[in-house]
Amino acid sequence: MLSSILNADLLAAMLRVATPLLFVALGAAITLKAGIFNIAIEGLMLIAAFLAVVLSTYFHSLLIGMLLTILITVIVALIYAGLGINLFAAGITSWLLQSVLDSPGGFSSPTTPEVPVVTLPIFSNIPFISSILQGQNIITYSSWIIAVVVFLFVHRSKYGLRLRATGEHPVAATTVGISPVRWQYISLILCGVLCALGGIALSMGSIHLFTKGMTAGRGFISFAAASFAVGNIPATVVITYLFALFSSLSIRLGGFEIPTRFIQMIPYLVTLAALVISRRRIRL
Amino acid sequence: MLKTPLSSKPASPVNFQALLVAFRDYVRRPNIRGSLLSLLQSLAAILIALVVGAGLLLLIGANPIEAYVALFKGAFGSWPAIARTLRTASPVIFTGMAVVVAFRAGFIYLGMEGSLYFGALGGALFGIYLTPFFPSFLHIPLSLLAGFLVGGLWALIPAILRAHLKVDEVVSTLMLNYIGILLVDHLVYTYFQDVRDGSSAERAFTLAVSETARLPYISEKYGLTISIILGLVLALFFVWVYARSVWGFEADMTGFNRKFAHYGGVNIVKMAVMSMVLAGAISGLGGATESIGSYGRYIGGFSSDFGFSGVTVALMGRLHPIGTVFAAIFFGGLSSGGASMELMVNVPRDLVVVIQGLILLVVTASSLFTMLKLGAKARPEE
Repeated sequence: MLSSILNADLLAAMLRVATPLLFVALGAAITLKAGIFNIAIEGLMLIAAFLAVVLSTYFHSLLIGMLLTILITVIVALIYAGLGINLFAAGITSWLLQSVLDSPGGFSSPTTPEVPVVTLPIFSNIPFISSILQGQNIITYSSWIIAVVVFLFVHRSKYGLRLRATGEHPVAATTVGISPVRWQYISLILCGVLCALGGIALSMGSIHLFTKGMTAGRGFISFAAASFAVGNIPATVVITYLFALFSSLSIRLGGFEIPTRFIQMIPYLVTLAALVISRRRIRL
Repeated sequence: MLKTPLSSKPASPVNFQALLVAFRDYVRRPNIRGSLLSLLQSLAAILIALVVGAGLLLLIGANPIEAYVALFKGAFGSWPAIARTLRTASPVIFTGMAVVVAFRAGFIYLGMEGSLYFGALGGALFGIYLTPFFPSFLHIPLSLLAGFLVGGLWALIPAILRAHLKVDEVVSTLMLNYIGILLVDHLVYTYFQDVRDGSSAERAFTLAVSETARLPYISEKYGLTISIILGLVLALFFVWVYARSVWGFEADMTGFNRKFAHYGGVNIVKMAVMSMVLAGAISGLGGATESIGSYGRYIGGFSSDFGFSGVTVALMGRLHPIGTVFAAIFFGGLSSGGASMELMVNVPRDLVVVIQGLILLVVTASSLFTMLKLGAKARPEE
């Protein structure tokens, strides 16, 4: 019974669920470190997921589509208006679906370029690991690289130190010549880039389509992961993967006698529990 | 300031009592210039949103003027249009008032949607199963009270988490919205589902509320009940609360500066619990006016995002009860006008959501930009 749930498939599913969350959680962590409470990530992720599919289909190019997605998402991120962005994102994506693309509900096209699936030759002979990594695309691998880069930036570079000083104690930061406002804007730009990547991973990762309101609270969950970790990057990564594990577990519990609505509740309950358990609190 | 830093007794440089009185006079003096400025800011936000919306319309080759005329006619052009507008506005007045109550005390409670569903269920169950015991003049208020209480009880969870464990209320209430809606649906689906007319098995659906508990209609054809009047009364009540009552003053003081309020003798923990529970209860009341109002039963997924719409209208109304009512009616006009705009000039009604989003975006961005500029000063410490 248990082995039918806990196997390599579960971990493979976990990786697929985690990738979009990971990018967005890293973005949220950076803004938290700069002392910003950026709840707009839900809307940013939705806009990016939409743009990624539409633009890469329109330009017949994954690269152009992704670059434009990142650019536009960063511009929207700089507006910094929380719930306004989220409502705007929900409205503009479903409006464009209907009025421009003439396909209310969702968009997918056979001509959408696919994200290449990569098989790492070193792992392909190891039994358990190869079946986890089989079929994972390049976005998943790049998310690990980016997590390391973000870690080095925030926790090991002088720029990260300035960023954290801005969040920890803006007055002290100002007295040593760091401009908190500038670093807050930089954190918003970085958050925009990461949310764009998260949106791309969501709509272009294992599936190639955008559906109306497809983020469904994922941005909020990523935000909760980052705030649980108080913006600490390694902790954010670990917690994001734990959330993803619970989500993919919950999908597999369908065969048991648990009401479906309780299964759907699991990611939100786990997030809430994590918030309650976490020690340090963050204020707006 | 302090001239004798070494004195054992810290001499208070200000008379705190006088400061409190000055603050009260500052808050409560009729400020026409300030109100006009707020009004102008909200109107500017609407104007900016409409201009951007016009740009989007031009982008798809539609005539913005035609579209906006259709939108306005569909919103306020005739009695049926006005009735539909007020019908859409009614629940949003309640959720908007909930946001006013929580935000003015400085708590970013976003759990309106969850409480709305719990309140709708509470009101509906009271209206369905307690029929033999009450005449109509008691049954309606008691059903509303049931919605009020159940909505407040659900809000007690994030309130206690916030007040006693310092769990941030923004994320906790967002998560509890998802959990609450699923939980209410589950309860209805397992225990109260109407299986008699074999209606859609996918949707949670209770029995019909008995006639003695139904809110009277103003216009049955357009589903407009007296809930709009209840909303107005509620708004007037809160005008009084914030202008005259001690609690309203304490709430405003807490929202203004928590430390200041604490020194002034406000129990912050109690204020956190009370304002959030009250916000949940008002949302629950709004839910009950829907379930014993035009729907006449609890229907799963009945709310078309009334909770977050409450945030939009409350911020548009600058957290003033009357401003919020006007914003809610404007908001209802956008929604009902959007439907007829879609019909008449073939512009998808989702444009309205874009405009609503843009308004909220401009309103919040203008206040957050000032916060960002203040940088260090804007971070309240606990």
